[in-house]
Amino acid sequence: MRQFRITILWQTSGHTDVITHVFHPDHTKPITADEFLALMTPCVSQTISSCSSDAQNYFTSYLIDESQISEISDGLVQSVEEINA
Amino acid sequence: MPDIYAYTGDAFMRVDDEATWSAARNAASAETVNDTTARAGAAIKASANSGGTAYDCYRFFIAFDTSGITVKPESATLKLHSYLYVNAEIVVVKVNAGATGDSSTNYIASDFSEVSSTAYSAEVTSLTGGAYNEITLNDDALNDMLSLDEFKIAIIDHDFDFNNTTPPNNTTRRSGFYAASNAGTSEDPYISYVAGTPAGLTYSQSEAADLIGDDYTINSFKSGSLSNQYDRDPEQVPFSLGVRGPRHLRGRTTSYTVTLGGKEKK
Repeated sequence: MRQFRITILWQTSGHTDVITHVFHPDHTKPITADEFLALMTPCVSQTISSCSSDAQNYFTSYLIDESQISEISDGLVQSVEEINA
Repeated sequence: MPDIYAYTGDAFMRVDDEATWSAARNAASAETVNDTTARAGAAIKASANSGGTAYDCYRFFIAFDTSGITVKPESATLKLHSYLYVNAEIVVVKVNAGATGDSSTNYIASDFSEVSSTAYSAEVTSLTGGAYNEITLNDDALNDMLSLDEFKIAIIDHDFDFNNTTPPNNTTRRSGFYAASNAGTSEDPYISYVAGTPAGLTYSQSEAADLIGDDYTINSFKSGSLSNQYDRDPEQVPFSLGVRGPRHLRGRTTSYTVTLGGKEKK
């Protein structure tokens, strides 16, 4: 099992979200953990809306709340890092 | 009424896009955990896509420090401030003590599978949007608030998650709530309870009757055990009889006449 920590700063409110994303054998995922890292790493220091369309789709499908989808231009991706499972 | 606010390690946990409802609901681990966000529009979710090929299951985990409760509360109400969606019918359930999260430790992904089948509330069929919703906690919850120092709960969908029924195709049920990580406490989850009354000492008439039989014996002080000015020979009972004391005072619980006398003077 591999885990990743994604940190997003919502610039208007100043609130930081720290999201844990897990690749567990039980889960059905469209991509592998390595593909996830390759997809997300280029987003660091950019807003979600500035990421590739695939990365944006992954954010809105799996990582952020539905209420935040309309605010992706406000969400600055500060870090994407693998953490110990 | 005392209030207990949730620890800020409360967590929104989600499993997305599983091929079956069982895979989503019974996942050993959450796929995504957010224990820092202020609120979630879809904190609770049970859904199936139009083709019945992708299922989502979201749960909201909260913990309270109930170590200060020493008497079973008379009643308790969980107060959750809704946010955005309110169409999932929900229920409060017990989280197993083995879960990592508690009132000082954040929940982790594997706690997703630590929800029990013990309901702490009735089904909540209607939530009010943009306001606190009050959920009455049941007797199981009140007992655990007393017996457990860590009161761990999850808010889950009732009709599909709690009942373990596969959502029909093209179904989306979701309800949103504020978390304790929200700034201030004006929308935080909390429990308001009515403190119980400590039980008083009870007196069992039948037990008292057993303690005193029809006859009883009071032993006297032995000679030499009292200081000189009080020591008497023969041995003394530890109270004034008004008469010289025998070695033992034998009595009975049936009525008899006692003649009061003054302290004997020499």
